[in-house]
Amino acid sequence: MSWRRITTAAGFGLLVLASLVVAEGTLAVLLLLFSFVLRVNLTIQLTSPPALNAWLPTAWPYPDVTLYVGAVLASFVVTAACGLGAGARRFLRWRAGT
Amino acid sequence: MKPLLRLYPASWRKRYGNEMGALLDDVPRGPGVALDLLLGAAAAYGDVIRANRILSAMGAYIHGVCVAVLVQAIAFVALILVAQGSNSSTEAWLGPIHFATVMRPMFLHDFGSVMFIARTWPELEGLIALACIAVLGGCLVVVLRGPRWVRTAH
Repeated sequence: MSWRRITTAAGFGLLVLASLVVAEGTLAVLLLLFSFVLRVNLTIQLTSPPALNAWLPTAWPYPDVTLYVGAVLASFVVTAACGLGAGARRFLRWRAGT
Repeated sequence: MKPLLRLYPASWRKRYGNEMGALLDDVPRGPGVALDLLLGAAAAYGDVIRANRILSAMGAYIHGVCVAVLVQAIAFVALILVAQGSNSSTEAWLGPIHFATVMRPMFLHDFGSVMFIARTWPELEGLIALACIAVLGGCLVVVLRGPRWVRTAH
């Protein structure tokens, strides 16, 4: 395999990874927004203690929603699968002018 | 109105720019014309992207990622909606993988010598969750159908 192909593959991988990080960041912002609107205390428990706590700034005991590592990993996998699946499908079925 | 022509792809401007500029001189200015020009620019970029295999595949990739993000946001709100109708805590898992837990708030009520625990969740929250799902569903329809609408509009 030539260096050109290796660097192209690495660049493609980095591009996919960067777009996934942006997509997951957008999803995290959406979840924070909806947890604020629906008044739930959102915790994303990647580590112990949790990586992200979005506690509502009131004393009222709102429901606690905890997302675990499995949810975060599944989210990455689903997002990547949807994107790569759609991209591969278009690439393989592409015809000029369609 | 003519500055809006700069939003079109260079190849399109090279071919139709002068013709379109002359046409815009004769058309009265208005928001309808501006909107038409914006939709036309989106359709022209769509044509440029569809004409290139790599760009077309990248566009489809980004489209798929957007759909996945919206579907996951809908799933999150749906989980909260399901939890609101449940009397106990709600958990989401698949086999050994634990995804999420929703714990309802509890209160200790003291009625004389009898103490009991009540779990509460305001009923209005259910309607708000449904409204959130409706908004997200609308966004999903726009994302799914948007490219086709732009293509058929021009």
